[in-house]
Amino acid sequence: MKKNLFFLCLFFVLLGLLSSCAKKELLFVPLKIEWFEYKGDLSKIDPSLVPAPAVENDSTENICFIAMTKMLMEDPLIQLRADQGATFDVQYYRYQYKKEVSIRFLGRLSEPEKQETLETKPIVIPLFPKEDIGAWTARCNPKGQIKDFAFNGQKTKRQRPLKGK
Amino acid sequence: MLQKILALFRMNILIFALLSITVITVLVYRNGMDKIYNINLSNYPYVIPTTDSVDGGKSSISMVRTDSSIIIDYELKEGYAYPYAGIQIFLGDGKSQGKNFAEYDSIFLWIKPRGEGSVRLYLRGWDSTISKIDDPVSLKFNELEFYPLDETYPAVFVPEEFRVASWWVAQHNVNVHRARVDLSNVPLIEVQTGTSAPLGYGTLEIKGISFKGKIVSELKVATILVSIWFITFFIILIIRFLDYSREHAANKRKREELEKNLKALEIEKADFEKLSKEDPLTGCLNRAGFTSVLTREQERLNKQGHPVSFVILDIDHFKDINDTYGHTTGDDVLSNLSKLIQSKIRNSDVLVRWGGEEFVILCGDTPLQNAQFLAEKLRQAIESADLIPERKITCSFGVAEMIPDEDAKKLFDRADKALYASKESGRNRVTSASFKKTK
Repeated sequence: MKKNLFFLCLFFVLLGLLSSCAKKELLFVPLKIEWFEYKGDLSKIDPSLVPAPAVENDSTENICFIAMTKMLMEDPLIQLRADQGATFDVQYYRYQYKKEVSIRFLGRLSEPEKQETLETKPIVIPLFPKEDIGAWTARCNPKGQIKDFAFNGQKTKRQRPLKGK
Repeated sequence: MLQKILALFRMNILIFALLSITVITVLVYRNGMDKIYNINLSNYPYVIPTTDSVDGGKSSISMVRTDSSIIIDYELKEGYAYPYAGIQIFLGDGKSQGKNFAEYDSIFLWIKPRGEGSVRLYLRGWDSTISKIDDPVSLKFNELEFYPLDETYPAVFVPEEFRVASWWVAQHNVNVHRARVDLSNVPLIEVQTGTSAPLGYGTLEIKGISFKGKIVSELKVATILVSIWFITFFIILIIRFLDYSREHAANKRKREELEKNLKALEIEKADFEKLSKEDPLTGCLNRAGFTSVLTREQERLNKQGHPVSFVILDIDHFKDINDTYGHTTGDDVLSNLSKLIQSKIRNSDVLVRWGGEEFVILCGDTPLQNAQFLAEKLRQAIESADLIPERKITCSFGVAEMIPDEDAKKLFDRADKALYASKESGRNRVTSASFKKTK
């Protein structure tokens, strides 16, 4: 009896070990992001904000967008929503701070009927939304680094990136 | 035909001609080209008898001409140390301007003695360094002594058989270099009784004397033949050289033409290869041309870890464009779109026309987020561009990143699914197939 029990346990242990060593298959999530540049009055968002002019093919700005995309691609919450078929609208604007240009990103689950206004009307993310609107904010500093990535208006610890990426 | 044969065999003909000339010349020279100088004593006027009486001897002589010869009857008597009798035959002026017998190689003497004894033949030569006009003895004694009865009739001699009389050399104190036989200027010929002619009566019948030679000397003939051979071979050499130069030039021309043709063929081949890999409408790669590029990027990913991303884009409502505005407008859309994309992507990125209205951009050394960013930029550029005046054109995008050692088909499927998601979500957007790890 004890012998049989031992072998049974051994079997399940081996099975467990084998399965844990199995090559982890990569799955993919279709991530749809639409980007909108806010061209309206920055004072409506924050009176202290000083607008910064757009510079064509600014390499720092490109780095910001790529970094932002990467962060969104790796975020498990974003992936979860994307896996469910969600699309994200991302609004961004440039502003000057201490004579340097930063970019602010505001994202939320896509609302197609409101997309037309995203260039003129800022996205407002409540601090404690009543429902999960999949909203998030982030800032890209003049060095092209993403800072203050926060969901639903709350500044949380940046989600750990997926292992292996 | 004859000309061809001549052209082909001209060298051989030339050599044959040369050989023929040589053989004919030798034969003719041997059997002809004779030069003969005859002195027929029966009617030659400048003949006088002579004896040792001019030297103080007592011998006597009488000379009679017949129709065919002269006959001299003589009596040799003691009185002179070496009694003699004979005839003197004068040539030229008889003193200093005689006959040149150096060109002759045979001397014929028709002489019949009555009795025994030797006969001397003198060819008296003028030597300007020794001879004197008023001194007949100063003429060189080129002598030859023989026994007529032992000789043929006529007796035949050659110039080499003559020698200069040693007593004359001693008498005139002639330098050794001038004491050789010289028949180049003989004004006097003497035929006399020889040293062993017995004293007493004797008779000599002399018909004549002939000198035989060749019109051209053997040396000259040989020199001429050698010169002809030399010149001919020189001409052959020149002809060969010219032939070689012509052939070389012709070969060079042929080679250049071949090289030119080869170059043209290679260019044509390259063009064909290019055409076979290029889409004729847009000028970008087609599927066939894409394979080598893809293989290269896969290797870089697998071996060096350089990320590779694909962007698939599809023109929205393209069938509608074709149906509404015609295929020409549709071609314009494709052509202008490819130009726009080419202007926006990097040099290292590769644009491929994948299908009717579908394009693929292979982005080497590009992770997914960068490819997504590129796709979004392209989407915005296409949306704002006027590719055709009739309407605005938009595209839907699918972006995917390759995994190491992955089959390219799987990557395409993934990117294709992302594209499909873009289409399903309303078109004119970018969807990325981002990675997700299972727990």
